[in-house]
Amino acid sequence: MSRPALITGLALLLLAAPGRDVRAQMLAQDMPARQVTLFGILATPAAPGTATVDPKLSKIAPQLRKLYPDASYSFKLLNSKSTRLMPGQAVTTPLGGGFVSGAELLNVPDNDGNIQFRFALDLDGRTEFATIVKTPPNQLFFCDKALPNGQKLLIGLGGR
Amino acid sequence: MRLHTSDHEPGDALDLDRLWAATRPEEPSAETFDRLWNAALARASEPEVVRFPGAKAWGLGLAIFAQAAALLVAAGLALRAPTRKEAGPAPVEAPVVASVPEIQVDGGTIPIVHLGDRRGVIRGVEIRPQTPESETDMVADDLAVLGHMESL
Repeated sequence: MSRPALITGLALLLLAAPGRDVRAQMLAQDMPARQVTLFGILATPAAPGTATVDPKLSKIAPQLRKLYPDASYSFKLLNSKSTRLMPGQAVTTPLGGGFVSGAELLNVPDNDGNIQFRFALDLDGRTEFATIVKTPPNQLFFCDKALPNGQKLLIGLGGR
Repeated sequence: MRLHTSDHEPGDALDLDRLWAATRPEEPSAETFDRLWNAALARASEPEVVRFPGAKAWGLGLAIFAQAAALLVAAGLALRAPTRKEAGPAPVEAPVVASVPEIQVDGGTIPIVHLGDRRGVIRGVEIRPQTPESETDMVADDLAVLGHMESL
């Protein structure tokens, strides 16, 4: 290869290769939107054989019982929201009693294919709990909050 | 202003001395000095008194109103001030927000964060392996729940 051609080729390569920041920006812009589901369920202790399940939850009652294999609970759906989020967008779900759960789809590239959320549970406008959740698509994350009367506030988060 | 010694000529000091001697006031006598000093001490030991204009200038009604207001404020403070026995507990500062830096969910597991009933208490972070009847059931439960919740 002649020297002028080599120099031209190198120049073109340098011009074509974006800088590190530009590459990160491009990668973030390519991150897909996700269908994100956030729901809250009230679990109330019940004597064995007397537990009830909200009709809206009857199809997934077996899965809910697996979460508490050592105890018997009645389950009632408090709220559920499923929405398509772009990275940086968030969904919030009021659960009653001053509780609000929220999840933000983070704009973070993940080489393992995980979806990353910022999850928070607020009570009366103050954050009770917060964390970053990295989860494969179609996999759920749960958080339960013990209530003074023995009930549990069960919150589920997932995306795909 | 500070003057450097290099700014003076040797004869300047003598000129200043002559000027000082010519313009210096006469020293008071010892009796005069003692009289002045004792008067100053007596004034300094007297209490400072701020004299208000007389009642005629302010108005008798205003004076009575001011005294009544002072009595009301004192009574209010006396009624509100808790005694040592009645004083409530010291205010409790709100605890720090409970947080876990990051939760990595692996396939085939059920992650559950258990929060206590009191604010700021995390009772545990449980990563429970799923117990599927078959390999394909490992994600079936989550898919079933997600799909059902999306349909509500």
